[in-house]
Amino acid sequence: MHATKRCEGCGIELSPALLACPACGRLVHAEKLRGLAADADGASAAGRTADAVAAWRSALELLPPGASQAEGVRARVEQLSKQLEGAPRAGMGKLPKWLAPLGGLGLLLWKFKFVLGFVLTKGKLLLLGLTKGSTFFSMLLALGVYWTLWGWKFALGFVVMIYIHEMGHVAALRQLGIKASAPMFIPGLGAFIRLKQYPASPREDARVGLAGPIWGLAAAFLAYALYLITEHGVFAGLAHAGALINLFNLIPVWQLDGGRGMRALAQRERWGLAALVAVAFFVTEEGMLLLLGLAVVWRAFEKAAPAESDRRAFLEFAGLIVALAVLCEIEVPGITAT
Amino acid sequence: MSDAQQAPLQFETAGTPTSASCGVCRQPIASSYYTLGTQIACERCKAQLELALNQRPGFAGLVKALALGSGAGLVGAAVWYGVRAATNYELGILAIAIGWGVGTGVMRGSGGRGGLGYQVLAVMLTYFWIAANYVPDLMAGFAEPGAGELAAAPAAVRLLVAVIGSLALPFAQGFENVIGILIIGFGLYQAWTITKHVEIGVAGPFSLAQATPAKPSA
Repeated sequence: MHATKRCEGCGIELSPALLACPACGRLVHAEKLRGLAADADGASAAGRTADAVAAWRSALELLPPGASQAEGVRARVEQLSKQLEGAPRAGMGKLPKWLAPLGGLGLLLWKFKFVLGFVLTKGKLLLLGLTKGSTFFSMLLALGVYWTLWGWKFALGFVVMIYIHEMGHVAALRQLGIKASAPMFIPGLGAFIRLKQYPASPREDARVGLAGPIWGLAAAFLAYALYLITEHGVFAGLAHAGALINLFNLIPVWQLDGGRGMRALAQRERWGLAALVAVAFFVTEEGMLLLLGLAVVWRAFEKAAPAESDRRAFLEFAGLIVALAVLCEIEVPGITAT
Repeated sequence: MSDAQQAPLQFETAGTPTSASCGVCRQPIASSYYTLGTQIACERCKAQLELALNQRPGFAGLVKALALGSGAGLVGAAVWYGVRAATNYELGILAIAIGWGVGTGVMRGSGGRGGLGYQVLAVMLTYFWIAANYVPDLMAGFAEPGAGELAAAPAAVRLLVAVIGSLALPFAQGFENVIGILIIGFGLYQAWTITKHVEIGVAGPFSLAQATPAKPSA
């Protein structure tokens, strides 16, 4: 029989469900917590902010939620994750000295390097995501179902667009050091990612939530660009469908991406979005905007909205609404809406 | 960060050491404690909870579950129909919302106990209300010329036929409606999982008697 664990401080029996001794308050995982704190401090000192924030997030799981240490750790996570947000991405940085004499041409070359770096790093992430069995096989299953309904070309493009949307979330989660499962496809409903750690603040939640539609928007634009180049109707259909599903995802209810984005917005920003959606609806008469608008107005009345505004989340949300509403207007030649 | 937040953290104890007390009744615990999930409880509170969970809600509970589940399903079906009528979009995710609403209603009616009987009830209600959102469309179809004898039938008869017809509708298109059937399946699954019998992890008793503290590992 397995012996019951005893508190290292006072010696009473400890339930495996507890994170602190009910009698003396000693933390059950004190040793591990000290190790994680040391790892986090070391990583911070070495400039490895992502590792530091990941260590603090792991520490948070070992602390009772109400403990004073949990508050301190959450504050550290928030501070470090803000640093991560402002950190230069791969491929970015100052213009090297050797390119400066070339003036505008040098700048253009450097910008191209950045674009190339961006495409390569994101492309690598997209390929790496496919190595996960659960993602790949559920993707194949979804492809099979959609194939039977819409033919292989549209089905393949549709699945790829959903995948890119999900990988947007994965990229944001990785950047913030939040553990999560690989994307899993559900035919008929899209795909989902299960978070293993919760975002420490509404700001983080908004970054993760809106990253999916941002990548989804990029995929829809790519499909539209391919349509303009090839004049193949399937790409127009994909651009339209991609815009529509990402717009739907912005509805701020339940677990949808818009709900996460909305958490970070102050009341006046929510009303600003409601006004924007109203204008977009009157211009485009897109039915999805009606649903989005109703949900945004409902959330604008919410008393629990943060007092502080989040300019980046607002601009991302607003930009997505405008761009997706415009893309929804794409005419799809030769394809009947399903 | 404030100075307090920047201060080095100690990982010895969580808060001020105090005597163990029950997380439910707040009374001090003298000799042994239990855990209900992650909450500490005394023997009396643990016994009360077990008793409450094991009590059968009886016929009244079943009627309440039926009423609350049906109410939630009706609202869900009306929302689904309203969304379709206003936007022309068929949002399958609303099937899951109906499953969630019905499941939550049935669970509340069961007094938070759940169990196989309530799961079956929740699944049946969910299917009924998902299908029911097509009743207005079928009724409108019956009123059109070419609907045959049904057009002349009394409204109650048309309603009955529409309700029965709506139950068969998801399968009427066969494999062409594979996504629709899958979505309904997710809605039913949602109702099924919400109404599962609640298992609270009760552990214990754990003695509060102090033994020689174990040597901390290096």
